[in-house]
This record gives sequence, structure tokens and C-alpha cells, in this order.
Amino acid sequence: MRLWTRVALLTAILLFPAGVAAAQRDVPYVYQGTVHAVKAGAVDLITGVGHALRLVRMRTLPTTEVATPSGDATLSALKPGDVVRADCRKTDAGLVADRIEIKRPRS
Amino acid sequence: MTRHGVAAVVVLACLAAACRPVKPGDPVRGLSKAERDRFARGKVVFDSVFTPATGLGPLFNSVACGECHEDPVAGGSGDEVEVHAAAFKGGVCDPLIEEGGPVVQQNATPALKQALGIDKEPVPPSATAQAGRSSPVVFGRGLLDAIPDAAILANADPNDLNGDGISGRPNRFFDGRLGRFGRKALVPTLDEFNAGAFPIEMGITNPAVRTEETIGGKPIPAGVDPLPEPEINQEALDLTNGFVRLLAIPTPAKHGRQEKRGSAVFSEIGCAACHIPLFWTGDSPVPALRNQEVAAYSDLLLHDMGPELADICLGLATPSEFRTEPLIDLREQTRFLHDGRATTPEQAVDLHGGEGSAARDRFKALPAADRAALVAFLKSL
Repeated sequence: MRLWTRVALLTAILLFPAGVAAAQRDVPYVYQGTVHAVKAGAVDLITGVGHALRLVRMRTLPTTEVATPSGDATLSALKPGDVVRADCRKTDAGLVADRIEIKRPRS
Repeated sequence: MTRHGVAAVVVLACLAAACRPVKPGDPVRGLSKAERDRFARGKVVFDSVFTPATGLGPLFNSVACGECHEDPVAGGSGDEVEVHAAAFKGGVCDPLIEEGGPVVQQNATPALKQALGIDKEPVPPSATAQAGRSSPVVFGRGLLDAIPDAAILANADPNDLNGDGISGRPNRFFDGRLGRFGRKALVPTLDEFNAGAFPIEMGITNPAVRTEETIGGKPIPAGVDPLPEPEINQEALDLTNGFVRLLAIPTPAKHGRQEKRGSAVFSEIGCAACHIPLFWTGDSPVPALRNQEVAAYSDLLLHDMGPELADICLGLATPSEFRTEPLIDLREQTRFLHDGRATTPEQAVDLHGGEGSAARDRFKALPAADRAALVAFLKSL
């Protein structure tokens, strides 16, 4: 019994970091910002306030959903200057956008 | 003392307080006790000196808000000139965020120096221009913040339809909101300007900006910035905002005949077309900032100032466009213009180009007495 307890504890300890890493990958990342650039398979968002500007680059996939105030759309609807909310997740290859909602199109 | 006597003393004391000139660093009048207390507590944060142990850096321009905004008191101007950079290509402005722009910090913490061997941030390699930026007074910024957008936009004339040679156009933040703060009027609100200033100037993250800036676009080396983000909390940020928001515009010096003549000349030769003397604030959560007259001497719009002054672009502002600088507390200043290149008001007027050329030329053509009157007026502000 004691041996099994030790094995179970050791297994848990060894697996824990991987579990944490997997959990971190699954943690949703939500960004609100302004579209800076739309490239093939990627979107750059300007976030931050004042002169403390930050650039967040996210990959887009064919499955990335795009929503506009007037309904669903495709990635081609994204334009620099659009104010968006992007629901992302972290992957080994970087940030991936699952859904991008255009909150306010560029005026 | 009779009841009437006490009442008279109270009335006289109130009148005396109301007539006392507002000094640099004073709060706006009419604050509640709670607001005055927060103003005092905010000043403590404003004057706080940060160290690497309390979050400073790894890149920074200064160790405290009050290090750059210090003369003659907290909230005043400073002798520091910082460096900004951006790229302007094909009419498009890139603030070069990926390369560490638009603010290029001039200091590094010892840990960053040790890790990368640098003592300041490198200038973005893609920059097409660099700019010097002096530290202005921040008196009256809460009043500027409370001016309604519509009042600012009412003075815009981007295509100079009235043919007076003055265009005036608004800058807008990346999300389309009207900008008014900063030398290029990029930033829409005072709270945002302050929240951005903590990380940009001191490397202090806060609830509004939770990530440190990269080092010229590259990640911060491990162990160089060990303090968890955010490095100050919302309370500290709110207190700082409260202090800056409530700083009053100092009362101008008493106007004699010469200053009064100078004020008239200021309008006659066209300075007041951009340096609009008065605005009114709109609604504000702070009663003392609500529906108040603001002696801004600015339209908070962008104007083309000519090729000699041109430096970086920012937002919609082209390299030669600058926001009309508010003329506040000029009598304490020893440096003028956005980069402090002028050492006297006359020199600053002389350096006006572009849309300011006509007013500048009229200034130069004035009789000596009127020129002196105008300068006396400026030095009274």
C-alpha cells in the first residue's frame, strides 16, 4: 500500500508540470484592441493605453469565427482601425484566435 | 462677538480665500474635504521614487512622475528631453511598437545592463525620424479632459473652408476616439495618458497596462524584471490620476496696461486663431471641474507647423503637425516648444512655421512696443 502511495505521488509530481502546461495552453486569452495589420494567417492588434502601446500578434485559422455588428463574416471583413475583441488560446505555435468580434468598425 | 460679527468674519474669510491667486501646484477651487485628501494622497504617489525593487524598469526615462514634472512644484515642468521615434512611409504612420517605439527609453536598470550590456533602449531600426519631447507642466489637465469633444471639433477646419490659412484637424487614437493629450494629441483621456505614462516613463506596469515593454522589440531577459505584474495597484493609479486631474491652472499675473495691450495684440495678429483663449468644460464627476471656464490658449487640434519643426508622425498626425500647445504657467518656463529648443517666448514665436507663419510674420512686423506688450502678456500667463 505504501509503495502504491509513493508511486501515485511520484506519478502525480511528474505529471503535474505537464498538466499545468496543458492547462495554461487552454486558458483563454481575451484581447481588446485595434486592428493594426491583417496579414495572411495573422492579425496584429494594438492594445495598451496612452503612449504605452503594445502589439499582440495572433494567428488566424480557416476556423476562426468573425462576427460583425451586422452578423457573421469572414476574415476579409477585418480592416486596420477596426476595434475588436479577440478570443484566443495559446498553443506551442503561438497565440491562435478562435473568434474575433468587430465591436466597432473603423470610422 | 455678536452673531452678525461672526457672520461678517466668515464672509470676509471666504472672500479673501476666493480672491487669493491660485499658485502652481494648488488644487482647483471648490473641492470637498474628501477630494482634497485624495489630492494630497495622490501627490505622495506622484512624488514616489521607484527603484528596481519596487518595479522600476527594466527600461525607463525617469524614476518618478515628480522627477520630470517638478519645476517649480510637483506637476510643473522639467528639463528632461525624451526621445520618440516612428516611421512615416507613403503617408502611413507606424509607431514601431514591434521595435520598441514610439517612446525610446533613455535608461536601463543595472540588471538589464548586466544582461544585455545596454544602458538605454536602442532606436528602432525602421524609424524614419526621431523627436525630442520636453516635460510640460500638467496644471489644468483635468480641465482640458473635461472639455466636450464637440467643443474641440467645432473649431476644426481641416480643409480651411473659411480661408484664414488655419486648418486645424483632430487627431484620433487607433480606435477612432478623439485625441487631445500629448504633443501630437494622440491620447483621448487623461486617465489613459497617466496609465500609459507609468510603464512608458518608469517601467511601472499597472492594471491598465499589465505588460512591460519589450527591449527594442525583443523579450526581457529572464530574471531582469522579477516583480510580478502589475507593479502598482488600481488605488495608486487612481490616486495619481486624482492628483493630476485636480491640479489647477495658476492665476495669471495681474495685467497692467502693457499686458492688456499684449492680450489684444495676441488676438489681432492671429495667435488666438489656434491658441484659443477660452473653453468651457462640460459634465464631470468632479463638481469643481463641471461647467468651468478654462484658459487653455489651445484648440487641442493639429496644425501644420512647417518643415523646420517636423519630426515624427503619430496616429493621424503627420511629421509636421503638432497639437497647439496650451499656454499655461508660461511665466515659470525657461524652455519652449515641444522639444524645448526655444529659450524665450520670442524665439518660440520666431520658430513657428506652416500655419503659424502668418501670425509669426505679423509679430515680427509689429512696432517694438507692441512686440514687448505681447511678450509681457505671454510671460504673465
